[in-house]
Amino acid sequence: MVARVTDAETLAMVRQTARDVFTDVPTARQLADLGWFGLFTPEHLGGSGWRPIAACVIAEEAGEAYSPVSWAQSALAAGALGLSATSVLLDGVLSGETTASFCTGRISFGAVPTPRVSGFFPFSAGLPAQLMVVTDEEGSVGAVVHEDEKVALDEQSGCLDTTRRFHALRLNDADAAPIDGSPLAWLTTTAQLLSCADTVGALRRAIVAVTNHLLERQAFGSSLASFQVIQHRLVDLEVLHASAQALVQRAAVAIEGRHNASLVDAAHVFLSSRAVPALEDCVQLAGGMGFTWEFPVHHALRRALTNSSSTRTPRASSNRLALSRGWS
Amino acid sequence: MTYPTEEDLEVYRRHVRRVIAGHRPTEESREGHRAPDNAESEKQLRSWYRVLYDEGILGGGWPTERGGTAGHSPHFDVIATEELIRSRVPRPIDQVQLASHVLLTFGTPAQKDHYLPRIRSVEHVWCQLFSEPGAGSDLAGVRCAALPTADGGFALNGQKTWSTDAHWADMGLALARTGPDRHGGLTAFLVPMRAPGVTVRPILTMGGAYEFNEVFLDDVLVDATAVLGEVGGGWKVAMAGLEAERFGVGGNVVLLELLLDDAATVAAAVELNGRPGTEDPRIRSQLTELAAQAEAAIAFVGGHIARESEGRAGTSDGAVGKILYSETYNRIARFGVGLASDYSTDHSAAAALAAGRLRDAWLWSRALTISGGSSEIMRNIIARHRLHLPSQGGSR
Repeated sequence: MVARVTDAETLAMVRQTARDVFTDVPTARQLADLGWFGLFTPEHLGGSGWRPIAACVIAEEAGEAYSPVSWAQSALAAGALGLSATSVLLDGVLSGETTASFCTGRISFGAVPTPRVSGFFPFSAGLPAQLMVVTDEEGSVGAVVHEDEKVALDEQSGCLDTTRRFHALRLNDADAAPIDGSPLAWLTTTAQLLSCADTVGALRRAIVAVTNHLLERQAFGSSLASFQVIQHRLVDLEVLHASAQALVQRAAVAIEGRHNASLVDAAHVFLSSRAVPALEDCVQLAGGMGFTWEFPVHHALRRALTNSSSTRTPRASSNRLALSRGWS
Repeated sequence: MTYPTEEDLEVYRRHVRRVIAGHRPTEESREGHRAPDNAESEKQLRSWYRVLYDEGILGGGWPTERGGTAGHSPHFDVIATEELIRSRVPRPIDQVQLASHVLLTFGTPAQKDHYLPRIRSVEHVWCQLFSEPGAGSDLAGVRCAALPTADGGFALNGQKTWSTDAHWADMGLALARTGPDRHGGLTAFLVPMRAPGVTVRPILTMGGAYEFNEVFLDDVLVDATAVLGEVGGGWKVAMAGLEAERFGVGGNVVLLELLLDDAATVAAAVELNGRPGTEDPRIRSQLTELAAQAEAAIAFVGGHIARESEGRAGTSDGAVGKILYSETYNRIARFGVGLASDYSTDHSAAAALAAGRLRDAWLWSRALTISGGSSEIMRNIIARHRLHLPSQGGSR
């Protein structure tokens, strides 16, 4: 069970645990035992409450490890199940026995009274999920869909991202249990922030890799990392990482208190405009080595670009941010 | 370190607001036009700062026996800065804060007794006499000479430059050379700005204001009590002061929000195809990118203040904060001025005021990226101390 996050030391412990866990590919049972699937599920339903701050720390570590595990989608799906009439399924998700995934996409509802749902939802998951929670970009409406419904589940081939497996869910008039209400919007916003945190972690890994490479490489009789022009570019990467991490943490604090979701939009706009160019700069700084498959930076680049549209598009976040500031 | 409660902070914020409402100077402060330009505005400014000291908004963190407030926390200073900026009233003078800091840290009891009350009464405004034509970012290259005199004092000879407020300051904190050693040969002196031999020549800034000066020291005689710290201990004094200055970004980040508001006001006033600029996707996305950058700077600096108060600040956090703040400030101001210039229209009074403020800020912004350790020096500091990168030809 994840403890209530109250101080920096507890968060450091969560970070260290996540770092250890992501050195390998953890099983669903391991993640369930850590309580990570219950990070957005109320305590009275068997979760650990509402823990976006701890979740962002874990997501950062997952990003840094290039982890293929989509624990966050399961945790978000569990949070959504807690809001629905089908909460009876929740225990299975929290215990890791039932795989579940949370995904956003184009959604439409068919005729009432029997709810039918259609839509297209790309999502990442290590394994095809038995339960899907689908919602639109805003999290204004959603539904729980079972594997045995009229569901087409495709593994996406030729994905840009080399670190995770992606699936796409096609629904055509599937039976569904609808979920509505603002709590779903908070989950969608959290999904958006977790993808930002993942990018912060991937960025960290790339910066460390390129810094170590430049420290080791000698040219003109000196370590490449000793040249001021190189140092200043590494500093710019460090400044970007430090500020991006601070912004994600600040946004997490805000949504843990369920206020000021616009900070999540700010974090998304910031990372989607800055992380990919910075990661390209990492490739450039590593020279020929950076251009090889073997050098780990291109994986971060692919992961970050994929993250930037995984929940909402950057343009949608930009519009939401403008709206929240009265600029529309 | 005292940890104030949320209620303490709110009470203090209300106090600051009350003081501002009751005593604010008649003219709104302008970025890059901080020094008074006539006798009346100088009188008003000194009287304003006196109120801030009397009300515990300035100097609250000093020892209580020197006029500080019991239970004062650095969080209060951040709140005070935020409120002063939001109200567009004159902010504390950095050089006076720096002089106070080093007097409290290195001053003898007699120096503290003499100078600190005069800072609180604003009888003394201080300036810094650090940089020279050949020693700016490379401060240890100071050449201004302090030669011992027969009566145990020193004769100061040299040229200082970029001395903010020297044209109306009463006292200067000077760094001068008492020996050949690059760092160990430097000594800090307390120099009356009206002493014989001190000549001040104001320099007009690119923004059209008199903010900084050249200062010529020709056989300026000071006695031994003018030495701050130890002879040869000047580098330590200067570094302590500059560190305090860099950490001082603090509540200033609020200014980024004000600049964004001004940029949005200008954007809403310009017309594109008969619609307000804020409805143009390109302009709106530029605005939101700047807002996101500002939020990131605010998040880092706010986190830094929290870490600092908990004793777990990261290495060179101050330098990272300075880069984030000053470069974001420049970018927002440049965008706003560009917008006002690209889409020149018959602005409303509010938009014209906002455009004027953005112009002041843009023309002033390079002072922030150059002074108090330029962005390039900040990057050197971060490279060396935070990233532990080797010096050229050397190793880590």
